This record gives sequence, structure tokens and C-alpha cells, in this order.
Amino acid sequence: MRPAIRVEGISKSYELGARAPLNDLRETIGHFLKNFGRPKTEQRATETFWALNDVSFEVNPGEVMGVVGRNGAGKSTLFKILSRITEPSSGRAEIEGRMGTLLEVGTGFHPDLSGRENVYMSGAVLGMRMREINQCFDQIVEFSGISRFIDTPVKFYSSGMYVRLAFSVAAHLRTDVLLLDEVLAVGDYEFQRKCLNRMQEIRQEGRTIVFVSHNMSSMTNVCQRAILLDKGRMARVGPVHEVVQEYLHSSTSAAAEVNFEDAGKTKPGTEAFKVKAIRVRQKGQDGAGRAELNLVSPIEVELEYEVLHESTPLLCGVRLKDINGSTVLTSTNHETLTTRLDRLASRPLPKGNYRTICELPALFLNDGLYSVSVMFLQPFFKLELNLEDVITFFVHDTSAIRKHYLGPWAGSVRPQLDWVTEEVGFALPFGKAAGQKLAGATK
Amino acid sequence: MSTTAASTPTSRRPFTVIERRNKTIPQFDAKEVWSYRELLVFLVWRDLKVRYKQTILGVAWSFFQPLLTIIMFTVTFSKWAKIPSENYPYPLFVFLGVLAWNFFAAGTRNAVNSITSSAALISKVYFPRILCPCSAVVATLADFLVAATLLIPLAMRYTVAWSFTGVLLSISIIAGIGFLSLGFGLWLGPINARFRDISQVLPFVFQLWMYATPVIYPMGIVPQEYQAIIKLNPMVAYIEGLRSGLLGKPLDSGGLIWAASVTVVIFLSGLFFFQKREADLADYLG
Repeated sequence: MRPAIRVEGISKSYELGARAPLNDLRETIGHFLKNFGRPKTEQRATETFWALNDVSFEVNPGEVMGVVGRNGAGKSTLFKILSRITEPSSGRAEIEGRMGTLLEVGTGFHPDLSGRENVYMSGAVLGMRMREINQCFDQIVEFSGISRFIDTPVKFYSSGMYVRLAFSVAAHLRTDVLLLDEVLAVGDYEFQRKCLNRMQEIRQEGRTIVFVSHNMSSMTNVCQRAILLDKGRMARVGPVHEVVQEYLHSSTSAAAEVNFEDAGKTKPGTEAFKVKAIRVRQKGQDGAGRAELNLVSPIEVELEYEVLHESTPLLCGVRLKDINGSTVLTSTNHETLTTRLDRLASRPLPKGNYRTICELPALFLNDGLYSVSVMFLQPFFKLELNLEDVITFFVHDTSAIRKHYLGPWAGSVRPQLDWVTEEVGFALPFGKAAGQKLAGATK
Repeated sequence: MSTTAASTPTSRRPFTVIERRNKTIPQFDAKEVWSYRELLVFLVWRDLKVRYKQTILGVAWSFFQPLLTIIMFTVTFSKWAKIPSENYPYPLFVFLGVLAWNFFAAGTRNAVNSITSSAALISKVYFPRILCPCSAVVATLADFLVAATLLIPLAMRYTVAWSFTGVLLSISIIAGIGFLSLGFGLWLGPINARFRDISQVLPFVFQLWMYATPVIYPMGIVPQEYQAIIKLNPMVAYIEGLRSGLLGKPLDSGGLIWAASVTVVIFLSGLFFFQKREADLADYLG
């Protein structure tokens, strides 16, 4: 089978210094006159910046390939080269089949044009033929759910409507290869879910997708393989879980542990206490923190701190936020909020080192990225110290549900709840009474 | 970058090869541009639509503007300043000049600015970048055609009879002006993407250039010793040629050959220059 995309040694360099300062004609002419006649080596020192450096990979037809990496790692540059927006400095890529690019939602949209006109405009810009747009125009409008406003200029649309219409056009793009960049970062949850479902459909139709996102959760749900880019280089290519794990480990944005005792760091705290370290890990695995966790067994958030002198009692608190920054839960070791009494909570602690562990139960969190904020409080919940988003971890769902359903699962948490179904109500004449009797019997 | 749309034995899908283009040899892929013809139509349509969408009078503006201009010019230059018009009716005489000049100036300006004003598209999606200046000139041509309808009542008012060859000559001249402004756009558009000075300076240059062109005055009032220099400007022969075609002025075929040659050189060299710069455009537009 021939690969849908073959990339061989693609590099892209920019001359730093050459681009930025010479932005108007006067400077260019001045620079030319100043250096006129001088040997080339004496002229302004330029620094070469490699946005991409010798990147090679292949994507098979029908595969969804993810691209992860920090900001500036070269993801956008790779996309711009593959979509032919800019040229590589060296190397070669081959793409088999018709190609479409979605680097943002609403490419080609103009605020003064109506929804209908923008569907055609955007479709044409994205490479659709007039005939194709005519064929699926009704489907596009139906998918977007804004048929009532289709003849209103899009500048009067809410941002949600705008995004829905724009994505609908893109979702009906009939290309063999699709490049998708951060498109899912916009829109509400419902919309993101729609996008992911659509991507699953596209994959099932046997088309190839290359997908960039900072949302590791959708990445692992949609992609089979992924590429990790680091400072323009290929750091890794392989199964998506391995690549995501490596990315989260290497990325400071997903540090599973902060050790304030490391050189160059000051220990946060007050005169009475100093925080030494905060880490998250799977329960039962001692030692360093781990950013990639599963939700099948409990997760521990561990706070290490030092009490400098015995003073007022101390409470510890943990706040979890999901990838959108909304708080999932807040908990402290105050006696009213724990499953069993934490004997040292709310007590003046003697001088010494302490460790407080908060256990998040198994099968409680959902798939996805969570950040941890840590609080230290005095009685009556007076805040002493707040460490906002101090560590981040990623929960990966390896539980039984994944044998039945592969798509994204809505919600910040996904606890197992008590469910019961019972039959109520027979046909008359016994009616209600009989139904109740049966319900009682099944209990 | 080059696209090979050739069919392979195994499939009929297009096959795209992406690599650094050889910049010393011009490779104008006319076949690819042709395959994007629908987008060209859409871009022109969007240009026109957006321009007239929020105006009450809409397309009528393309009509009123030249009408008011010729009234003003006739009163000030002909009645008051007594500028001659070689015995042709001054309103018709000046209108042909204004019409041609406006098409040239607006066409060039729009073509030059088309790259920066399409920055959002150029940095987000691939298409042959030459569609930007092309669509700008075509959209300007549409404005020109609306304004040109004013010629019919004017010709009737001053009882000027048009010959078939005269109209044919005029149409070729308009095409020549279109290619000339496209040629300038191909040269200056990519430069303007990097040095925005161009779009700052252009209106001023065009103002001066208009005074050096017989738009509001006849060629006859230019002193003999300056005639040769003035005639280097291709717009001179184009405007005089329009007056030959539609007013019956004697034809200066030598001048027209010169203007056509200048147009061909500027257009072809512009095409070559644009091909060389095309791939870097997105890098400068960000």
C-alpha cells in the first residue's frame, strides 16, 4: 500500500534578524548603502532559525495521525508546508489524493456576506467545486443547525453560530487527505464533540487525517499514531499513547511533580510553614510523580511541607480543574469533608516535616487533562497560601468501557453510579397496585 | 512546489509533490491556474459584493462618480480655464481620458493591495497566489464597464457615430490597460507585502502621473520638444487611441505599438517576478 503522505527530510529555516528589522524600504536602502562594497561575511550577522529540521514520516491511507509538541515546536510550520502555504527549505513531501486544509475555522468567511454566500465562498476557498457545494449545500446548512439565519450577514451571528456554520462547510469537504489544526479548540463542548464524531466518520470513510491539537484527550481518542515535535525535530513517532505520554513527561506544562527544594526555587509558604514538594501519582506507586495516570486505580495528590514552629492549626486543600479551566472539585482535610478523620488536620503541628495525601477514588475522573491547585488554610477556611495550577496530570481511560465505546465521553468526572431499572405498572385492572408489588419484589 | 496532476497507473487521484522550487527558471503552471478558475470567479464576486453591500445606491456609485467628475472637469477646465479639446466635445473628450485613467489607476492600486488584503487567506490556505491580483483587476474592470455605459448617452448627445473597427480598437485598448495594471500589480504586490511603503506612495505617484498624461488636456498643447518624452508613457497612446476609436481622432499606430510592447514586457516580467516571490508570500504576511 502506498502511503497517503510521505515526508522525507523536510526542513524549514528562517533568517533571524534578516526578517524582522528590515521592514521598510528606508532601512533596506540604508542597509544596502552602508554595506555596499563590503565583503559578504562582514555584513549583518544573521542567525538561522530552524523551524523544522529533517522531519520524516509516513501516514497510511485511512489513518489519523496526531502531531503534538509545545508552542514553537514546528507544528504550524509542518502544516503550512504540507498544505503548500509555504515552501520547505529542503526535503520533499508527497501527497496522494486530493488534499484539504483547515488551519482555522471560517477560512474565507467575510463578515459582510450572508451565511449562504459564505458557504459558497468558503467552500471555493477550501477547494470545493461549485457543483460539489450545490450538491451538499442542504446538508451543510442542516448540520450547522442555523437554517433560519442562512441569509443574514455573518457579522450578526453569535460566535457560536459562526463557528458552527464554518465547521459545517469544512466537515463536508470531500478530500482524500485532511489537515486539521486546532480547529477543535474553539466552540462549546457540544460542538467539539460533534467535530470529534465527524472525524471518526471521516476516518471510517477511509480518508486520511493529520491532526494537531493541544487537547491530549481528543488526541488519544481520535488518533492511532502520533508524532512528537520538539524544537523543529522529530522527537518521536509511534502509537498515540506512547507519544502523548512522552510529550506530557517532557513538557513543563504537564509536570506531575514540583520540588521546591530544587536549586533556584524558593519554597512558598509563610513564617510558620514552607511547602517542599507537590506531586501526583497512581496509588501504590511510590516515588516520583507521574503525569500519565489511569482511572482504574486511585490517584494520590501528595503535599510535602515543613512546619517551622508550632502555631495555628493548618488545613490542606486541593482543587482540580479540567482542561477548560473549570473547577471539577475542591476538597480539604477538614473533618466535615473527609471519608475518615485525618488526625493531624486542624491541629497545631509540632516543628517537623509532614506529608498529606489526598486520594481520588478509582473510576471517578474522566479521560483528560487535569490541573491541581493546592491551598493551605487556617481554621474557618482562611486562606494562607494558594498555589494555582501547580501541577498537571493526564488521566487515560483504560477501563472496560473502552471495549464498548471509543468516542469522547462528556463530563468532567465519570464516577460509577448506582443504576437500577424496574418494571412499573401492569395493564389494568390490577394497575398500580400490582406494579408496585413487583417493584417491591425486585428490591 | 509543483503539482503533478498526471494519472498514475494505480489510481486516478492527484499526486502532489512538495519541494523547494527552482527559482532561476520560471515555471508558470497555467494548467493549475485554470483548475482554480472557479475560485477566481468567487473572488471577483466577493470583491464586488462586499464593495456594494452596504451602500444604498450600490452599483450606481460607479456611474455617478465619473458623471460628477466630467461635469466638474467640463466646467472648470473647459469653460473657465479654456483648455482646448481639439474641436471634439470636451465632456466626451475628457470622459474617455478619465475612464481609461481610472481603470488603470484603480486596477493597479487594487492589484498591488490584493496581496496584503488577502493575507488571511494566503496564510491559511493554498491556491495560486496570482488569483489575487487577477481578481482585483477583473473586479475593477466590472466597475469600469458600469461607468462606461455613460458613453452611450454622451455619444448620442454629441452625435458621434461609432464604427465597428473603432469599438474593436477600444476593446483591445482596454484589454491592454488591464494587462498593464496587472503587470504592475504582479511586480509591486509582492514587494508591497514586504515593504508597505509601496501602497503609501502609490496614490501620490498616480496623481503626478495623471498630470503627465493627456487625460484632461489634448496632446496638442504639449510643446514639441517634450512630446517624445511624454510619449514614453504607454498610457498616452492608450488614451489617445481610445479617442481615435470613439471620437475619430487620427490614429497614432506607432504609439500604440510602443504601448503594447511596454505592456507585454511589464506583464511577462511581472509574471516571472511574481512566480519567484509567490512561495515566500505567506512567510512575510505571517
